[in-house]
Amino acid sequence: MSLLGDDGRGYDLARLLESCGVWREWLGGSTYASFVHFLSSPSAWESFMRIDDSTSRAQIHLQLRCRALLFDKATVALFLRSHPTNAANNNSSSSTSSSSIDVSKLNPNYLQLHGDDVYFTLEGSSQDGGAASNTAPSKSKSSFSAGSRYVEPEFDSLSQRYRNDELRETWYNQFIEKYKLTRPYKLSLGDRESEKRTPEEMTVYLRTLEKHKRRRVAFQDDLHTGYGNTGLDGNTSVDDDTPFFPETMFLMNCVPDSPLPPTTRVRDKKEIEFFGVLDTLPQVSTRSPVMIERLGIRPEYLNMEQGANINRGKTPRKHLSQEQASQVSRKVIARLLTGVGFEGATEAPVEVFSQFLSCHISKLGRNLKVLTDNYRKQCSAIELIRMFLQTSGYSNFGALAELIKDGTSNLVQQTQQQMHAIQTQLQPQHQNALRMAQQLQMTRQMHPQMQQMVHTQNLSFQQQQQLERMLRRHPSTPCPVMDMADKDRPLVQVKLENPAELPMDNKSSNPINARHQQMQFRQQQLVAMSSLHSQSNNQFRQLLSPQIPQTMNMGGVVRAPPVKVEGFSELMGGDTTLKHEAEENKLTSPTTTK
Amino acid sequence: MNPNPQSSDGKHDDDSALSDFLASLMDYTPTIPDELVKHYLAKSGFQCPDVRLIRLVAVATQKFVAEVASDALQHCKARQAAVVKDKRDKQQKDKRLILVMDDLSKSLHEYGVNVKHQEYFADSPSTGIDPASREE
Repeated sequence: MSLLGDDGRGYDLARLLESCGVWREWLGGSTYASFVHFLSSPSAWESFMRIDDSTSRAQIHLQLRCRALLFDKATVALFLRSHPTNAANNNSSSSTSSSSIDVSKLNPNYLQLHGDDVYFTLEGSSQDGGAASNTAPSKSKSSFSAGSRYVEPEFDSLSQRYRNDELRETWYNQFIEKYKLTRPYKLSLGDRESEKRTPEEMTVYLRTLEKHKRRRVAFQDDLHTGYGNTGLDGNTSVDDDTPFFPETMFLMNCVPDSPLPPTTRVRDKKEIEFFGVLDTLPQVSTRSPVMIERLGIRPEYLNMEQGANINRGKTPRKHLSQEQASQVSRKVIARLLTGVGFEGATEAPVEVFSQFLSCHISKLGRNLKVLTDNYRKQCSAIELIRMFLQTSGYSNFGALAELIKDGTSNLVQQTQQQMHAIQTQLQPQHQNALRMAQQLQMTRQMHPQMQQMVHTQNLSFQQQQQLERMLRRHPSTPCPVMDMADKDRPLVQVKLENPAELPMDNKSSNPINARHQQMQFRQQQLVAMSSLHSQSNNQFRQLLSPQIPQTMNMGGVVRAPPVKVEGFSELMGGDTTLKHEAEENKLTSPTTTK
Repeated sequence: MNPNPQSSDGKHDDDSALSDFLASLMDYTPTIPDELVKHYLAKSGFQCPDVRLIRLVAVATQKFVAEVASDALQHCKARQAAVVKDKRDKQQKDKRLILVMDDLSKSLHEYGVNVKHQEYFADSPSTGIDPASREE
């Protein structure tokens, strides 16, 4: 340490301590007398500090005690780098071979012996009357806040012997004895009312602590600049050097140095990715790309060995809240009940069943956790899964495979049936469907025009009929015609009711029938269009209701029964409410006919 | 020489069958969504990023719940079939299969889950006892 000089003997520091009268206190009167002449010259000091075979045991002990005090006072140099007022000294103290710090700059009060630097009065056995055990010749400031100091057993016995025999007159013992006489510091735990935590006492504690720190600053510069002039109460006296034992003086009113709580590891709420034993499930043995496609195996599986993760970071993870999970559980239960054959359920069973579902999943999770935690090392992943299936009651997973197969085949069948139904509906009216698609496109394009026409309300009936014919006839207008192949694709799942059950006149012919259907579809289109814009809704209703019977009567046959078309709202992209309203008005018997 | 060649081969076949089964899980979307299963698995302390395992748990749960539901359906049908003949009009109206707590509790009882409602609640242990015997 730089305060001990280049040779590390600390002669200058020892001289300074002598000038402050510290050696006499530290060593005691009798020992001091044999020591003081070593401070007369550097050579004498060096001979004192040197240890060789001729050095007696008493001298070694004396040397150790001196070294203890020197090191204790010199340790302040270890903290000089963090001190801003010692920036000039930092440069010099940073290098090991640099010149030592001027010891004359040390604060004399700092060099004095202070019992409160060492003692923690709440520690110690009853034999010492609560005094801290001075078990080692060396002391350090770090032991001030420590509780029982860790001492090796043999060293402890040695220290006991020293304490009892040779260190009876050490300064610390004298100090604590004196302190006990002057100020009894035993805790009065019985009198709890006097020991209360109050803001006033805490303020006093802080002020006292501040004063104490100011008095004990190591360097005189700090005393007069940083700490010295800025006091809570402006009092910078250094004479009052009463020992500061906060554990007894401010039993309930000690305030921590920092308002911040001790730093603990912040809980990272992010999901920590870890690799468990079940992360490396065995891959499918096949390597054929065709088989891979057919089985639907994703490429990530094959790269598992390289550390690629399945569905890790691919899709954003959706974390469900408890309420959301309950809701989803209820929906799942409703779907399951429907699949089983129920047509309805009361509220209580759905609620109970959903909780049952969640409990079962949790139970399976617990089983998995127990198995993986306990048999992670003994068993492979596939064996663990087998064990899990056995505990769940599916040791023969054929039942699960059947469920999957049934589910997959049902889905395929359903899709195929839908496709077939749509194809059968579309095939007999192949051309009409195409025309309908064309008209649909046209109406979409002409919709603004029609809307204008409707808004003006100037259309005569004849004009409306012309519009109808125009819509019927338009094969050559430049409009995007649907691809022939698209006819097979279900635009929308349209389910027609009573498509062919029309009470027809015998005179009616197929073209008329087809024409009826065309008109019906066109009516649906018009209705669907009206659903797009609520403004024109009323006008449409007025127009359509007299219009329909006219067109029908023009055909000269019959009025077709209402045809309900589901899905047209989705087709047209409008809301269904208006559509239904329009439908109602359309489907009711027209009251007035021209 | 392998002491049990057949058993090792059989085990290998079982493992491959299980692996194929796990792979086929990706073709099937269970009724229970993956997020829901993950949520409850995480609650119980198990976390696995492999979707196949999540789907396995989902399928196992779905099968189990479907069995309970089908048992409840049987109870429901049996209950409706046991309606007295002179109440045939009501039977026509109540032909719909509706899950009620009674059927569910009977079904769950077979699986060791007791969800029966208490038949009555008593204020004290002596409630319901004949007053004459109570005095004694």
